[in-house]
Amino acid sequence: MTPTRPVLGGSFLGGAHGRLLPPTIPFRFFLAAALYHLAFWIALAVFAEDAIGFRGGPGPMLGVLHLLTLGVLALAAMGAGYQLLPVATAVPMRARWPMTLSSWLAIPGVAVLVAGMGLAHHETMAAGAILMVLGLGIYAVLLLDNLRRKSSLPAVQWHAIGAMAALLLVIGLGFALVADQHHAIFADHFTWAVAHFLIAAYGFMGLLVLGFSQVLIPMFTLSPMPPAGNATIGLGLAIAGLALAAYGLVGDQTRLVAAGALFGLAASLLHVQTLAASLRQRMRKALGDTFILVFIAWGFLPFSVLLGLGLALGHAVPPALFGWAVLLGWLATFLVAIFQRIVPFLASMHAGRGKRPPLVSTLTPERSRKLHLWCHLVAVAGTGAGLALEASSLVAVAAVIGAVGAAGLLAFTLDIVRRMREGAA
Amino acid sequence: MQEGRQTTRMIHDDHVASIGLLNELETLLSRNRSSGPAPSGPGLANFLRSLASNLERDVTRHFDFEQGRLFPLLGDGGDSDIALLLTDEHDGIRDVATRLAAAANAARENGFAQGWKEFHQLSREYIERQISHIQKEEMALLPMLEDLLDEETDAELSQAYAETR
Repeated sequence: MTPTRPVLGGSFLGGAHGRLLPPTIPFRFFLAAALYHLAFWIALAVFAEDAIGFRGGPGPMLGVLHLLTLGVLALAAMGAGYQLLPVATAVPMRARWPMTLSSWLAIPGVAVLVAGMGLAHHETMAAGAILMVLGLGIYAVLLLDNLRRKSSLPAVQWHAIGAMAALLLVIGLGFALVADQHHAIFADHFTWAVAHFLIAAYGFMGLLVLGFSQVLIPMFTLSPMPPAGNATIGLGLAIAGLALAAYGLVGDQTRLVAAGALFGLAASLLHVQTLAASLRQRMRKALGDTFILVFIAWGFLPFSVLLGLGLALGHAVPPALFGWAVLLGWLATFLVAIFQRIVPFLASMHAGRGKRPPLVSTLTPERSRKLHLWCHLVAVAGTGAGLALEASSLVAVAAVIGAVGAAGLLAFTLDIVRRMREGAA
Repeated sequence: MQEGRQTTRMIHDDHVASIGLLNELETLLSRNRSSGPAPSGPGLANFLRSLASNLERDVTRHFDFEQGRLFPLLGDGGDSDIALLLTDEHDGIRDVATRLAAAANAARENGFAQGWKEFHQLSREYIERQISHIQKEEMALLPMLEDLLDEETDAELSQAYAETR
């Protein structure tokens, strides 16, 4: 089945101009994510020793982990979700104030929660958890409300529904895990923490990535839309795999966890194969260097599942290496690739409202973008090597390089906001 | 899956042809820096002729048809917003295309002795504006037309567009 052009079940950009949110809504999340991204790498450099052999539990490393998962991944997903979902579903968000409210809860909520985790201070952690539950809860409800109505892009719609269902589970479990430290809820805290991690990484963030990839990758490369059937099968495999792995984990049934990992492996290979096939038919030959990040992220997706399978089967895989592959190798690498493309694109749409849109290239600060891209790659490779070799100094050096790149990403984002304001003035 | 509508297929074919030319132009630019020596060679004049012809004739024909016949359908279908955006982009592209066609014709006759840097700059702008525009048409305009056009209108429009060739 060979589409002759980027065939969408509906129109992705149709009416996009009219469904643009005020730039302050998505860009506050993007700026906060860029800031927490810098904080993450700095904190990892400082607490590199704790990263080796990390297996959860309160302390600096738990805070560092949540700087990445909540501060970078979740906040960027909030900004992107609020802006891209109404464009993809062709259904405007009902109101703007709940989105603003969620930002006021979640953006500071990350700092409070991370401080509580880092200091192992239960009350601070609980306050941060409440802010995050409310902020992310509003986000999930708003997106589910938008997704209730018929979408022109069912592949994106069903992935997003799955992601939001996973998010509701994640925030419920996360809150219970915080409460568990003072009010014993779980017989085995560690196991439930791992289930929380799996559902957050592969369920909430993972399904969002799988779903939005179906339209973003074809849009950037002028490729045909992947066959909807593959997306549906992939979604089914991913959900089945995640459910089996999580259920097997909390029920202490290794075979179920392994079976879940195999389903997940099939889903990830299908995802990568489908998008790669679409990409091979692209009209635009030059992809740009951000696709180096996309390709690396695609490699990390099945690799992370294989590491998870190895862990489930009792092989000597350092758990921190598994976390690294999922969070830094796959999710963060994919996210920053899309961030580098979508932020200038959105800025050009805002700056061009009511007049000729400026060129995306005139809004893109190339130096800071490239600095971030190459530092990110070195930092990911270096931290992985450090975790595998249990060499904390290597992790620290790599994290310093990551911090330099993160400063580049922050400068990139700030510069785009400045140029967008000048363009819109 | 083949496209259902003749009209959208014809517009898409134009995009494929334009992108083929843009890919060639991009290759020329990436092999020859704006600050370096200007390119020369036996195939260059032919390429510049194709480029100028595409800019002067095909782009105008394509844009005029879209603005005259297709965009009003979007307005009738309740989505005039995207038509306004695409029309704005047409204006920007026409402006650059006119200057780039003049630069290509001048270079074809006299070589790039004087105008290589300007040609390079105009080409970069043209490529970016066209790619971004085609992206929007492929992702928004064509799927919307697939929904809006009935068989009779599609036959009439595709015939009308064929006659402009």
